[in-house]
Amino acid sequence: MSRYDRHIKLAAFGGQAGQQKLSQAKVLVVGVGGLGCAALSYLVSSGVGQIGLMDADVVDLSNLQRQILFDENSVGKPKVDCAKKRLSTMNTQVQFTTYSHDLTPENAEEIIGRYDLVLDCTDRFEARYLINDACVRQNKPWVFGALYQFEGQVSVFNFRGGPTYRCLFPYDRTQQQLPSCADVGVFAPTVGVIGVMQASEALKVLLDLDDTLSGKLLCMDLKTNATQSINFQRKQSAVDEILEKPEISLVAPEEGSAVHNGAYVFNLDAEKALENYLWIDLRELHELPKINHKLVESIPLSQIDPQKSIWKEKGPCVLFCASGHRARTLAEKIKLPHVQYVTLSPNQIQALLNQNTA
Amino acid sequence: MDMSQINYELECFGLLTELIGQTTLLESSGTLTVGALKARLLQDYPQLIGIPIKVAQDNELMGDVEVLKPGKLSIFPPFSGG
Repeated sequence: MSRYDRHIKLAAFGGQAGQQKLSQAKVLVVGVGGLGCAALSYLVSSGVGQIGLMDADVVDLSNLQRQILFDENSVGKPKVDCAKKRLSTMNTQVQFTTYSHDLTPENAEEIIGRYDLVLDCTDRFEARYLINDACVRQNKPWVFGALYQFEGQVSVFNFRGGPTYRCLFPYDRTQQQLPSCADVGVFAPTVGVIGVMQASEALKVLLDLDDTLSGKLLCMDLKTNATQSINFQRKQSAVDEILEKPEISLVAPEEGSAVHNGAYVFNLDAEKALENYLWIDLRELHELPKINHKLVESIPLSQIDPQKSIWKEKGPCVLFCASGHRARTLAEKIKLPHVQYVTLSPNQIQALLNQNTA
Repeated sequence: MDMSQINYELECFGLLTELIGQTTLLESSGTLTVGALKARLLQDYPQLIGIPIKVAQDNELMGDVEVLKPGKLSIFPPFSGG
């Protein structure tokens, strides 16, 4: 009996021909975190033929609460390697390609061009706009998933001439201020449900089924069990704007900002050596990974007295946290030109400082 | 514009539940466009500044110039987590 017997028995699945479609499909999963782990499990068990895994991060202890492809031995190891090892034991018929780097404006179109469909399992707005623009330009559908604590959003973009992410959420620079899971926490089963919904939509798109979430934003709240599906339309002007650009670019960088690994380093002078700044880690003492570098000073946000300004006496400094949300909020409150912030992850900052300072 | 008393019942999602509440009643002296509703929310809840807000009625996303009929509205921001 075929390992895919229970799928083949489904009338809507299309029998052996449906399974053949999946085994010939190429899917790229950007972000092997909570959503990625949940989605990948079902893409692999369902026999999607070729799967690309992209993530620049290593496994952190705090990931294990929801990132179900990893175990305690994975901590400190690259996520893509651990995920590939685990998934390969689940289905040896699937071919994996790993990308242990971020999606960037330079590589996005070329890599996405190799696949039939993309799953956005990232936790950054920059990555979402980049996936959207590259998929529009390469004419590929993509499946979106995003989380806030107990709630999740899922949709399918750029499928059969349907709307794109920019048709729903036009780029807004202030979105950088919205908190991430690293800032506000996330309920592990929500991650699983939304990731599995993404796998479900991906399989439906690959099978060319009707009734996908194209043109619909599904919102689920696992705390109240409320669900809502909101319809929205394609905005041709938003799509044309992406297609008319000579090349793909990150969403409108602010003047004077430099870009490292696809994230913004707001207001830092690209010419000025990074060692001219003191790097302030605003994360609490229990947050990992720790950063070991002589230019980094830890000042947990909870220990900063808002009535007393310690910043005037300091030289040029750059604030950072887990996602950049706390850093940006504080920098905008301090409003001193020598106090800047970045939206890089601690791992990215460690790499940046190791590469660029003596 | 209709100048009679209008009630909107707002159901909030994501970060908005913390800033506004899970649900809230908004009274207006006439029907509002989405743009006017957003301006009113910013006035009532200044902490919303910088948060992109989408408004849906009867499960349809509404554009900024569209007029909202009295009744239930869903308001939500984009989520970033993954």
